[in-house]
Amino acid sequence: MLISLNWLKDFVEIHEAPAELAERLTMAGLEVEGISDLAEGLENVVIGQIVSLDPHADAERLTVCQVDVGQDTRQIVCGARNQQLHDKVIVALPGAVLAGGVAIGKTTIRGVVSHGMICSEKEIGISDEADGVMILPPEAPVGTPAAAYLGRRDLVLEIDLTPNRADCLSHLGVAREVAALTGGGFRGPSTALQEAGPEVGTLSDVRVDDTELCPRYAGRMVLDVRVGPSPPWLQQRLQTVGLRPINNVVDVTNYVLMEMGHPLHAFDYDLLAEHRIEVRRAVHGERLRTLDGIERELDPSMLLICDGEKPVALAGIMGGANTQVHTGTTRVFLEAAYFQPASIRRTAKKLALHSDSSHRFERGTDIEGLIHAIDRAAALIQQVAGGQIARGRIDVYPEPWAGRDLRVRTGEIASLLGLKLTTDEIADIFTRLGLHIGERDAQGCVVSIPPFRVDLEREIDLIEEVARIYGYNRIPSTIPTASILSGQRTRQQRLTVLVRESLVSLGYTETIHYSFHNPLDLEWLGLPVTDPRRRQIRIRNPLSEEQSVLRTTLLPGLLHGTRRNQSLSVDDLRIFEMGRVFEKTNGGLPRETMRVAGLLVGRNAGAGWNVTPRSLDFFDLKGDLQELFERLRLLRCEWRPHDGLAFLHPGKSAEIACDGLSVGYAGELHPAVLKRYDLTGQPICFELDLDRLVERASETIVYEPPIRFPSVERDLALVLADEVPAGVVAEQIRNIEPELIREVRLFDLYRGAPIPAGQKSLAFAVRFQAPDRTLKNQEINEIRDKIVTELHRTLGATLRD
Amino acid sequence: MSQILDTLTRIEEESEKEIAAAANLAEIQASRVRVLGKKGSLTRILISMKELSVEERPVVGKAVNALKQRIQALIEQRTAELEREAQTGRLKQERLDVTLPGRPPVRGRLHPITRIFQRVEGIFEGLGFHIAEGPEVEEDFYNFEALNIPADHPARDMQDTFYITDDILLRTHTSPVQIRTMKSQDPPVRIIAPGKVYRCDADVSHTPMFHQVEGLMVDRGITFGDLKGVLEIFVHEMFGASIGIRFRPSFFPFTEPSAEVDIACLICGGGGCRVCKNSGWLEIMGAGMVDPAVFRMVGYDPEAVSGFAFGMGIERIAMLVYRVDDIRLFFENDLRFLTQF
Repeated sequence: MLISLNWLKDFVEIHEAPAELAERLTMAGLEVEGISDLAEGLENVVIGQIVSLDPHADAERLTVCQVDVGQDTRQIVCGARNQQLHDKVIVALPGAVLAGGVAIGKTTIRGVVSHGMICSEKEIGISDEADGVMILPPEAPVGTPAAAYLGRRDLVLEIDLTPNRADCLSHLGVAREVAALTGGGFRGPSTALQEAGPEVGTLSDVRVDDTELCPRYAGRMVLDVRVGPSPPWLQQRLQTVGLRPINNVVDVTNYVLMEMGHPLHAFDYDLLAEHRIEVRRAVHGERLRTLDGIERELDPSMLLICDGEKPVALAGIMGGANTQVHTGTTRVFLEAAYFQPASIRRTAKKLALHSDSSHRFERGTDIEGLIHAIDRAAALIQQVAGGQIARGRIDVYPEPWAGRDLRVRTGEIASLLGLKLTTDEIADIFTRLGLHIGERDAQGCVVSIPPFRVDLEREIDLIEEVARIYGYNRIPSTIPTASILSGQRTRQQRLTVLVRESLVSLGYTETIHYSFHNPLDLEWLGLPVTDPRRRQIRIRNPLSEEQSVLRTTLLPGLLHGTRRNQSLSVDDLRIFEMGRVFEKTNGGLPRETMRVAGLLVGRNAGAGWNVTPRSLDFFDLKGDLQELFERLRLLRCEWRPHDGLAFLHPGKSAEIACDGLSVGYAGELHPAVLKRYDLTGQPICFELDLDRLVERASETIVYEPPIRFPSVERDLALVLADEVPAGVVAEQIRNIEPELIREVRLFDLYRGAPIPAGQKSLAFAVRFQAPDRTLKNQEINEIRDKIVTELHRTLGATLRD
Repeated sequence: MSQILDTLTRIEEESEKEIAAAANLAEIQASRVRVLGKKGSLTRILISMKELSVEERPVVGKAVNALKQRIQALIEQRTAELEREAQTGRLKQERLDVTLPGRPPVRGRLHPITRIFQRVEGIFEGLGFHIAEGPEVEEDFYNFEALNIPADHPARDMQDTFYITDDILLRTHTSPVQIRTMKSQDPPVRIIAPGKVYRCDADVSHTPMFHQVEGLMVDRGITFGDLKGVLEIFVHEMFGASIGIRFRPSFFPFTEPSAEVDIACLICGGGGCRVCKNSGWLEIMGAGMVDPAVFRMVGYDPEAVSGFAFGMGIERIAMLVYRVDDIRLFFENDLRFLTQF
């Protein structure tokens, strides 16, 4: 909301410097986001008159003007063509720095000296009009500074109003607030008017069908007006607050809107069928072309202003094109009404039509004050467009406002704000705000709420007013004397942190992707229609199709992230993400589960003088995850060969199970997926159900005494069928003498001559150790022989020569 | 016997010279063999001792042993000297170019958003706040209705909402966690709720998903002064003990009185700059006393308990702390950005 300082001063005395005023307003909750000086760029800009006008000898498009600027006559080369001899124009003299930052100096243009510039409206920053120079009326006084003539000696405050302060959506409202804050004298605008001619009731009639949506409708008429441009003061004030002047009648309604905060509408009385107004809901399929030229389709939730036969305005939002005031209008019907805020908001939202008028009605207007607004408007129309104001008002107001009294307890202020004030001090604050105090005692007081303070409905609203006017920063800060509570994290939260920190320590960088995906992502992953990840939830109003479904897997985010980094030549990646996925349920909220997913691709390290990089592979990832599981004390994790995931290489992927329950997958990406996501290298990825991991993880550590007797390591190279998984072999070895075999570590895998085709050699280092004695060679040899015999029997393994 | 004693004196003198002159361990070893070896001069004397009389033997034996010990000591001493010299020489030869780059460890980094979350959570944990969580896909009731934001209220304009159905949506703030927490437990309540939130908005300063931390403290006798005190502790822990802070009236439907919390601009220190739009202040969170209507919604008695709530945008804080000027960087996942944290 833009507030002109000059306009504000019409209603309140201001002695503070603008910056001080802005600070006071900001600290009272009316945040001043900026102060702009309208005269900026108008220094050394004056009014001039063209006294001669000749074509430029060397440039067809230029003219050479002699311009009288008061003290002297200047030669100015001009590129515009709309100026005529004797026109009054705006001249920027050398030394001026215009709104866009253009510095004006003496220049030579195609051999002709130019002492300044004749300006367009855009060049001096008063509008976007850049077509030709600005031509002023003949009476504009030559030599006068443009800032003064154009009414630009003003500052404009840009205030970011919170939605509760509907009362401050006007100069009058802000003036009241300023008066409360600074104590400056306040006076409202004059609403005096001279009525003449016929009674308005004899000219028109208003019927309100729906008094719930329109509790009050008032009308006035101004007759014999002459519609034309508004006088400069009116135009300038509107421009100051960012409105475009249209004609004197419409300008007055906008002026009163900005001044008093009450939206008004002016109809051409002679275009109203039967000269009457009917307020009713729209019927299905009814249409209205609003003032912005758009044909609107209406429905019965919307309130209409109609004449004897058709809709003429969308109540509280925008007038219709069919009855608008135009140059030929002579009789004006003025409307000032109160519409139910929620209904205006619903309609404006449904039609995506937001106007200055709807903005105010949906926040709540002053149901009593609208009478002053309509009187003020009628008087101003008469002042700027002539004519006479018909006697009286139409006022359909079946249930007049009953007033509202609220009791404020002094003790409640102390216990809620931590601020000890007496009832008198509290009452004093309310008085400054223009609220009337009724009964009062030590325990509290009764406050009468004026109709424009629609935000004051409860005691708490008044307590807030006390805090606001007293000053938040003057309320002493305290440390709560509260019950002692421990800030412990839950097990789930601790373990989640552990997973995140573990992955980081293993070299993975955390990423965060949007929770929404492109529905095509699942196509690109090649997921069959029966895959549970296909049960996606669609956003009804997505920003784009690429962000239209909630993710059911974290993988696509990682793939897009990888693509992005590879396109930036970042080829070595270890990334992960922790976040929720969303699974559709049968009605109600979706099931949200925490996942952790990661991807690695590229080399294990950057090449260096002493580092030979190699490509990361499945076993890098497996090693990392094994370490992760160890930190989570997940001791029984199995890696099962798995070819059921469409997006992974069928021979190079695994399902991971903890305590027999599947917790996720790991594997190389399928070449088709790489192609669809345009990825290079051989990325390996994993995705785990974090909730399941955490459920099975343990935080318990029980000390196991280190064995004091030495351990002995023996190598054991076995040849067996290629399809026997190494994990099975190791497990069998361990189980042969679990008490004495401490570790079974694979250190070599070999296929090829002299090993027969279809077989492989696995070399294990087996570490033996007894808890209570030093093992003898003979004992170890016996176990070793037992291993060989047993594995030969179960797996057909033989000792390698 | 005197002949033997003379020989000992000679051996002593010769050995002293030889050992002192030995240039390396091999020469010392040679000296040792010459004197102490099986056929060494001293060994020979020991053998010849059986020819001496019973009275002479102990005298000579004592002298021989003394000499033996002395020579051994000399050898040890010289050996140590030579080893020291050899080591000094070797260390002079062995050189590393310490300016050569080290072997790079694998680097993983936390996302800057996580880092800020951790700091914020740590501060409030210390003040006895629990971490609470709630769904990201939320019911209209928890996201709006129960927070005193009825349908058709202009405050809904403050937040552009992604809808799934008429009454299921992506939460627009972490505030619904307040409601869920209060509905599930009796006072006292002291929680923070970090998490993702969503609004349909995208430009240089808005992303459709971002992160917030919500806070709520409810107990008997909690005041606006307490709100100020607790948030001042937070701000001073987070941004430094000397940072300026101010509370400014504002409006949120679920708190009253409501406040915006500003801190002195971290960039210009309060003098005014582009980041603080020349105001010298940076808005970092919203806060307020829990509105009685919210208490009634969750079944708390506003006459018996009071409390405050606050909420802050994590990206906003991360942008200030790390001087990031485009919010979208947080979600582009460019490793050149992420590995800086």
